[in-house]
Amino acid sequence: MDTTAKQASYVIDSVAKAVANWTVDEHARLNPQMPERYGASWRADWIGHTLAQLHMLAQAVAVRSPVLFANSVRWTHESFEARGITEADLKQNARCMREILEKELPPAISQNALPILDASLTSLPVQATDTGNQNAGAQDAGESLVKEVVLKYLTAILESDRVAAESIVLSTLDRGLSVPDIYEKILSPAQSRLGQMWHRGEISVADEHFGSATTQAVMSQLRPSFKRADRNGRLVVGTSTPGDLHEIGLQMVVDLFELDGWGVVYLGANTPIADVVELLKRRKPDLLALSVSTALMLRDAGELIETVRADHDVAQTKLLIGGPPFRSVEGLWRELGADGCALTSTEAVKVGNMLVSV
Amino acid sequence: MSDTLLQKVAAGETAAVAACVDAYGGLVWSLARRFLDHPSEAEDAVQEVFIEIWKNAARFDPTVASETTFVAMIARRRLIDRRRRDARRPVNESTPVDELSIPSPNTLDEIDIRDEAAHAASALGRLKPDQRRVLKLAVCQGWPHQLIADRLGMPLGTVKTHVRRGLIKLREELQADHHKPQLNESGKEAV
Ligand code: B12
Repeated sequence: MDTTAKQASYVIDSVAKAVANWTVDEHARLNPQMPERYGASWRADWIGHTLAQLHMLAQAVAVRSPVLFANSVRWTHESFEARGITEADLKQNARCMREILEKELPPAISQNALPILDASLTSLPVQATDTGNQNAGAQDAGESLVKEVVLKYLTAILESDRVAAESIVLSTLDRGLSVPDIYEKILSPAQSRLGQMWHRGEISVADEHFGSATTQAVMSQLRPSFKRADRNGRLVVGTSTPGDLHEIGLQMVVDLFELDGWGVVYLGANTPIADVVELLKRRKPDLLALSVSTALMLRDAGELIETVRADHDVAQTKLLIGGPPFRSVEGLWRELGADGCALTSTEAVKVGNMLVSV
Repeated sequence: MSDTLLQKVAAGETAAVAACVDAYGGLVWSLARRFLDHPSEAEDAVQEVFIEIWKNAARFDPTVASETTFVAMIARRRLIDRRRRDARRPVNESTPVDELSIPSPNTLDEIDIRDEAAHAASALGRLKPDQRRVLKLAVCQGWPHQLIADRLGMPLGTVKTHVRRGLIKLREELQADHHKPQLNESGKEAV
């Protein structure tokens, strides 16, 4: 990651609240009817939205990616429109934010952010996208069994019926699906769909939490049916970025490495950088698999990679990276300094094998 | 080649802008807490102060005052301004620092400010590591509590407790030696 871009990103995060306050003041000055239109909590709501945009802008600045920010803006617009907030207001808010950034921040900082913001303003409106998992999902699979199971699984989750949800998925083993199939064609698309519904305000946080917990429970129950290849003597350490609480994608990735015969050390979500480096020193793996689940973690992921690369005991460890942000931004993994990237768990194993055989 | 942080900020060095936050975050927010009653107001004010400091960096003259003095002076003026503004909401304009003309500090001022910086640093140092980390993110960097909770993998309640208890503890420590600055009627600080 470019040092100057990283510093500018950090500064934007440091003053995001002041910038958000002024942005909303300016927005309300231009639109005196905001309180009336958006109710009692209008100010807090708009400050929350502006802050979220600024934190995402800061990440886009760190990795110098207008696409990353434009995607996030589109994604936000989709959910806001579903909640009755107009495109015109969102755009005006973005224009006010631009004005404040230009007026208030030192040019050394704002010049990193303004082109990114401008690109997002000119590219709107664009068709809404889900920045989440749209990989080999049920749609592309074209398999009616898979479609039916995803639907039934989601229905059971929305009815909070964990026993039914579990048995729907586990029964597919008898119907000939493999563990990687279940991961990629049933559980991933189901999680993605849950995310989409939550994002649009169609389901609650509780529904999403229940669904994720059920998916994790199903994954544990699949372990006894793992058909592992012979051990290949390779070791992979799987970790999330510090602060990243998503663990299901990474869990799938390391499970498939395990099926492929690799030794696996799974560190799960939110591991501090120093502990990752210490473990790398101790276990000397062939591969570090790093999961980045939201674009808000990109600067920290870059930090982790830089720390690994700066420690000459572990600097040579091959580094494979993956997660939703890499789906929408071409070449982002290179910008962060990884050796390779994969978008799904099956692809992760292929790329991992390639990286260590070089 | 410029040598102080503020001179580098004025020269347009990105790294110096970021370094300012690290170097003076503790001082600025300890001042903000002394001037403003609510932690969330202090958080906002700290960020506004930094923006003001960067804007005025070119006016810093090392032959007149130390950088710490200059920073503390801008902070105080901005905080007085904010307190005055809050007292008669919803006015939304601020007195430009230019109009307040930064005086060359007298010796008392200089000593006072140096004291403040040292106190703030040592009071921060006496907090528990977790508390210090959370406070730095919340106050010096202005992160929302939810983001800190997410990033540090701490429950939201713990983050809020750290911020609240940390601020109370700091305030106690700082007040052990200091009194809250008094404003006279014109809104200027009474010496
Ligand atoms: C469940 C969930 C959560 C749960 C996680 C629970 C848990 N125990 O894991 C909780 C509630 C914690 C959560 C929180 C948040 N989430 Co969330 N979450 C999701 C959701 C709905 C499902 C995630 C999941 O399980 N996916 C299934 C797995 C299998 O997919 P995956 O993670 O993409 O992994 C696959 C690939 O990416 C790849 N892969 C993953 N890791 C790796 C690693 C390597 C090395 C490789 C090669 C490949 C690879 O392989 C995997 C298998 O194919 C997604 C929606 C979605 N569409 O995915 C949002 C989503 C990831 N979350 C999102 C957001 C924004 C958040 C929050 C910031 C929300 C908020 N405002 O608070 C917080 C952040 C918290 C934090 N600090 O991390 C966004 C991210 C958008 C973006 N591009 O940045 C998403 C995409 C939702 C959306 N569409 O808006 N979330």
